[in-house]
Amino acid sequence: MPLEFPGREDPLLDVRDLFISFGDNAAVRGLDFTIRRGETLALVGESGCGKSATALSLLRLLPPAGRVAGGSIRFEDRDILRLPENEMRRLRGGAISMVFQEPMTSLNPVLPIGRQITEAIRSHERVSARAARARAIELLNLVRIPEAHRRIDDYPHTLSGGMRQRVMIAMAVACRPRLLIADEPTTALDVTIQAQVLELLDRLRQDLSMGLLLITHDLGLVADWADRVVVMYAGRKCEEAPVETLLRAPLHPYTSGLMACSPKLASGLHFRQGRLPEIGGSVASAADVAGCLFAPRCASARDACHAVRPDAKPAGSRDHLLACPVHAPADYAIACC
Amino acid sequence: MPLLAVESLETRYGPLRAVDGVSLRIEAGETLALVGESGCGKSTLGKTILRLVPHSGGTVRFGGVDVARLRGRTLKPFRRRMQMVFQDPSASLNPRQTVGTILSAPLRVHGVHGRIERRRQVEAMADRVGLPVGGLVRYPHEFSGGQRQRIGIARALILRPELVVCDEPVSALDVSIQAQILNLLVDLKSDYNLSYLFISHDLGVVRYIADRIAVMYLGRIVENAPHHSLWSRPLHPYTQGLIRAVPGQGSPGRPNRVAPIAGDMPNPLDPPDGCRFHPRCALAADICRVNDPPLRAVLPGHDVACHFASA
Amino acid sequence: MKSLGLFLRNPTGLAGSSLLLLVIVAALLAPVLFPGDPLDMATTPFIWPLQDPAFPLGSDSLGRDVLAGIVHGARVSVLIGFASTFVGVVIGTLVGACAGYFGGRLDDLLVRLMEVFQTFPPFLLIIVLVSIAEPSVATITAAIGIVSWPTVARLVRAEFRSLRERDFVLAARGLGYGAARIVFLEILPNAAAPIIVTTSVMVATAILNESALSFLGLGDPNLVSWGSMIGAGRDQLRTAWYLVALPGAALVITVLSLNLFGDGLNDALNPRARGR
Repeated sequence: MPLEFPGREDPLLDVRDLFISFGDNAAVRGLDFTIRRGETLALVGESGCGKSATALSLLRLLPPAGRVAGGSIRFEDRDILRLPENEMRRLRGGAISMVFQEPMTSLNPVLPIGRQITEAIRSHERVSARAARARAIELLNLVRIPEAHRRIDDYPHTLSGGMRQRVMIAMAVACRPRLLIADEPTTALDVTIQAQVLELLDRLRQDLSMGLLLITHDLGLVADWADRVVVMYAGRKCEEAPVETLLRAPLHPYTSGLMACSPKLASGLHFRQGRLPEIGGSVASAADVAGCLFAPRCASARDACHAVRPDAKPAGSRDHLLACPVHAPADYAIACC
Repeated sequence: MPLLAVESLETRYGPLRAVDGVSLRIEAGETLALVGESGCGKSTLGKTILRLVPHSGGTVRFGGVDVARLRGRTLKPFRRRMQMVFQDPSASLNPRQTVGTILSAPLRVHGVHGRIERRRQVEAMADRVGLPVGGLVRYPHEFSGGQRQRIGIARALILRPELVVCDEPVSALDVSIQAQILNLLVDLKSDYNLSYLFISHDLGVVRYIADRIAVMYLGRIVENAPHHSLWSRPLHPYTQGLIRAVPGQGSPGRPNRVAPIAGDMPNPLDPPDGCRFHPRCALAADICRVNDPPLRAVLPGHDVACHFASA
Repeated sequence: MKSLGLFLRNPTGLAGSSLLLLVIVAALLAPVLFPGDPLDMATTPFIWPLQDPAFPLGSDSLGRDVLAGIVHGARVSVLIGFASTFVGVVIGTLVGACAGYFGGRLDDLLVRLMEVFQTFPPFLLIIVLVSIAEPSVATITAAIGIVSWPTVARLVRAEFRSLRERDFVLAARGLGYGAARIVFLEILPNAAAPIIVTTSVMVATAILNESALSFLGLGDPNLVSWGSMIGAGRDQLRTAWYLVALPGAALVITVLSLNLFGDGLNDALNPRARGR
């Protein structure tokens, strides 16, 4: 009998055994995760771990070189990978919407921001130009752009990076999406602006009871804003847990290595007192590995790790999934059989 | 005598005063971190000190000599003593040259004669920064981001400089690679007795690497303090906000979800009157709108430019 | 090299380079294949092509061998085409590099100079220059080269202006490299791709210009050229059209091959087009 995973009962988004490849290169190699309504799931990993490819595949927006090579993506009762293109188009920017990393290039430089928002609205709903404009002003107010009624006719280049990202968010939530995908939404922004933008995203998540998929490389952001976390390495899930569990007791050596090696304010470590813990090597070492993809960089790898690729299984509690037999608690082997 | 003493330095790009009257000093063997958000002028300040961008006022004394006045042949020996590590290793390495050429050309230009001698020095430096043997005949794009930054560091150190300006040297790198590069920079500092001017927006990194921290806002230094003093008692409201804005400082179960500083960076072409931070400052009073506070020592070695800062 | 592999897999580039190779081999082998002066009378006049196996492309009004003329004409075309382009590229690269790298007043001055040259219709300028001097291979080469350099200079200037802002150039300055080293060893190799691509089109233009000069009778009178053959044949256009068509076809094939070659190079060298 299959195990009952929490969140599997009625997920908003259910991704199973997803494979994505770019030519001969596998970007994602068998990924499972779910997002519930009103929840923030963080997809964490470094460049090349497949997190952005995963995000794009949810909207079927992979670049021409990339393709979903296997698995399923269910959004509510729809099978995303089998949906006809016209229905998919309705879904994008409607029920599922996305905020990108680079607010400089994601807005059209020759159109006023108001035009871009009203077009986003009118491509999904039949409303008059005047009503759409009123909605656009409302949205700009919602994302806290000061003097929205004046700013609506401004061009993107007159806005700061933080303002542009707010406009992008306004466009993304214009049709009250049920799932918002935010791909490194604050990476291009300054730290004081970053906090403002995340605060905004989180408030919108609550107000619109959206599922929020937060894609980031920054564990600090995850700690502050996520409900649950999926840690990815080289296209695979290493560990998945509620954020508190993960922060208190990370099990996978990659997760704990990542948490230890990023210099933190709170740790108070200074170079004259000691070295930073390192994860040796680089992700390139995962290219042709038969076993665990992290094994070439893992200090506690055993012979078996190089031979058998572990799957993520419950460890300790049902909502804590781990793909590492070496660092597993005692009940791990029992739970997986 | 400090290794580097910058006095009232000014750099303009047309009407923009990117660096607007900055004074700072770096002692031999010290790491000074320059912290601030994009557009605050920290990178321009670093490049002005290295004479990569022309200054429009003030002095840059390096070993007692004002390098801001030097030109051509008299400047060249100082180039050797002050070097730079760039943020983006893929943009700062010539894509058409092999790593061997990139590392040996500085030696050739600075009069290290003999192919064999240059080769010996290049191989020793490549080995020291952890580049693979045999990597010298390859091109930069054949390396990973972290390896490329090692090449950039080797190039900066091959001339045995005394001061290295590191401009966001780890911000383009993956988190797991950052620690490797930071540890390398620390090791090299003690091996070669280096001083660093470490430019970064990442306070976590700065917390680890810096002996002294200067915080910049809109072309000015607003706070300058030794590390123990700055982290335990940040005095400027901007510094306090920056520190609180760093994510991940809550404890598990009690996340930190506040934006400590409201508003946006003002247009640097038209900076606010009085204190430049006053439109975003929670403490701002009438005096802040009128009077520009000077940098003054409030604690020993701890300078701050705020009307309300006190020990 | 990766670029070479890409080039050889590109049908356009491959077709262009094969045709071009044919023209160059013909030019090189001309004295072996057709010893003797192609301007001498070899047979009876007005033999049509494919009539006499000894003269497969026939003879002209003076009984000269048309095939020998075309093969020897390839020599002149190829020589002047490449030599004048070399002159133009060297001058253009030097001027463009100085203007682009140093900027400021020198840039203003050099840009004005380019504009002065570009305000003249280029062919008129070539005629003026050749008429001042005695027409010979050397003077024609110089004239075409002098007219073509501003094109290269503009291109090189634009490349240098963007490349000089790159971090690796800043790094080179910080390492104390001299201007000459930065211009020639750091920046120029990065600007090489567009220069090479333009060069192939410039060779084609130079060949056309040389032909036009010779057509007008302003070429070197002691050498046979496709242009002079067309010029000489135009009086017999109604009676013996092949005298114009055959050298004309040689010209078209050569220019076409250079353009195809250039397109192929562009696809192989242009990094933005790669990645697809």
